[in-house]
Amino acid sequence: MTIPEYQTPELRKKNLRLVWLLVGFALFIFFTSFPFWTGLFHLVGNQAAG
Amino acid sequence: MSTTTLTHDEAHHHDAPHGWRRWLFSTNHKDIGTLYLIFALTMLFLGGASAMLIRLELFQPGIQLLDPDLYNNLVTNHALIMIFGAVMPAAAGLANWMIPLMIGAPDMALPRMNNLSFWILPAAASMLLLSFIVPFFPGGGTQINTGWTLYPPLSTQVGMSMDFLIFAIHLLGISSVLASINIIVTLLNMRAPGMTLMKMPIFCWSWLVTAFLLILVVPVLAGGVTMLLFDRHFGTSFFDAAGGGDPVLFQHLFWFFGHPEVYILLLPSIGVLSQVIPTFSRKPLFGYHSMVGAMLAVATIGMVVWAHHQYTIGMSIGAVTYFMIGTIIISIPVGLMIFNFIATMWRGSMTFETPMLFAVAIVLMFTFGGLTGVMLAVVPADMQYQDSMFVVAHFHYVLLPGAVFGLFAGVFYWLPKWTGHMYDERLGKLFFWINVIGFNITFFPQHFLGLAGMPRRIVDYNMMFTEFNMVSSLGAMIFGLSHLLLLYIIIKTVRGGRKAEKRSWEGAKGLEWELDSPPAFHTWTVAPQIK
Repeated sequence: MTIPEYQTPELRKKNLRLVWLLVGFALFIFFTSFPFWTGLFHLVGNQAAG
Repeated sequence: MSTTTLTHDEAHHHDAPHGWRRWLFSTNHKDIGTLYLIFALTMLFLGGASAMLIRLELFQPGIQLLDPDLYNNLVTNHALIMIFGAVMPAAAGLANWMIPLMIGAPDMALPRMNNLSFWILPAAASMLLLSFIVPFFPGGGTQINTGWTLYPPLSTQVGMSMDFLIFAIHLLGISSVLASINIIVTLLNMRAPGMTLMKMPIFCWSWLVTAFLLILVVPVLAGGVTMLLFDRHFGTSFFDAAGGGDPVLFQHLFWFFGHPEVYILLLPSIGVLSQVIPTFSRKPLFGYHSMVGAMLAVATIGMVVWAHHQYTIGMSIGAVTYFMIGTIIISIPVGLMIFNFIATMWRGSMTFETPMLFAVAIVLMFTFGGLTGVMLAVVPADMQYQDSMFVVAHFHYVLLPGAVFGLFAGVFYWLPKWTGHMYDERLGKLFFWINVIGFNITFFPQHFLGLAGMPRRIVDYNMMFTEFNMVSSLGAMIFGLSHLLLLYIIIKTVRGGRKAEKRSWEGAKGLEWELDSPPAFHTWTVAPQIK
């Protein structure tokens, strides 16, 4: 599999930049889902209890 | 491959691999789109078979065919197969086929990642099916009886089949996120010169919004099931009250994904309708800008109303009021879309080919599903309806017309473009009528069953529910078997038929209709200029 000609170096660079941005965003949401949701849950739980 | 001097004949044959390599190593958006669609159709039949078994069991009270655990295992698998195996891949198939053709791009931005996104799916589907089968083997543990929501503590007590399911969800999530990234990059970076965002076909817009939604919510589900996996095997207590955790936390994580997932399933079909209705009304879409705005509004509000699935867990009055009002507000942009469709048809020169028949049916039946949705959004009413067959009727009225019929409309609309042959219109209409009548016979009586108090997800029921259940089961057999006709129509069209023209439908507009039917293996190698 070779890189098709329509993928000029500029376009390829532009595409990959956006890909890594989106991958980073998805990973950010995945990893923050643990502390974010447990934190929010405890916060709301404490307010309801108090 | 030349980008400037490719002749039509060369474009058909140059670089097109043959045999199994063409499919396994494919980086061509059309081939990968076809693979997605074949995969989705296969899973539709598997999910449909499980639904027919469920309805056969419910034909009369008492336990006939399925023991309670197997019944719930089938309910779980039916939902997961239909959502992750059939509807999402079918929508991705339409996106793969049509987005590059519609925006004047030679292919998806990341063809090799496109290949990976698809080929993860069969592996994930195998894991999903293993989760169903494993309990039948010695030492296979208990069956998955949690439903697709996988709520703990039940899901932490299920046998090893739950681990297969968690692994399947991880794989499906990775596939969805990769496909979404590819679609976003393609739509933002690969449009033909002159095609601004606000000139894109609405189908492309619908996928742009859907792809962002997927990236926002799928990692949260992945986080949730990972925490579940940790609770099951690594001694953590995220959802275990005995260790300081709380099972309700999982419900929040699940529905933060689960509710936007409904819009992930719906929006691509809304995009299809936005292409089909103008074509067969022979008028431009009414309210292009408001349509884009409505989709963005649905996605945004849909992200922050998840807990309307959890009214009965004991939230504060303030919280349930917020979730109720937010949920009801969603009916405004959804209503706007419906009004736009009706306004497009208004005084149009309408004809009723199969895609348009599905489109009109969707406008009517999806609106009905929306109305029962507003009923369920109201907290005191939901306290009565929750976990009843009324909910089952509601979400099938939303998801079957809203998502599946929209995909059928898309398949019939673009089948001539994909295959180069017109499908048999008489058979198409026959399929539509059997399908829609079967659907209504199946699910309409379930409203009454729910209102009379029949609970969902239970294998047996009180004698008083017998008649409506019999009607519903008979409808399900008609509805299920009608899909064999769909398969026949598709195979017949692929094998031959009247030659389709470039512009297969008189009122069709857009770049995809400038290309041959079927289009060459490589298309738009020279980007079109959009005025």
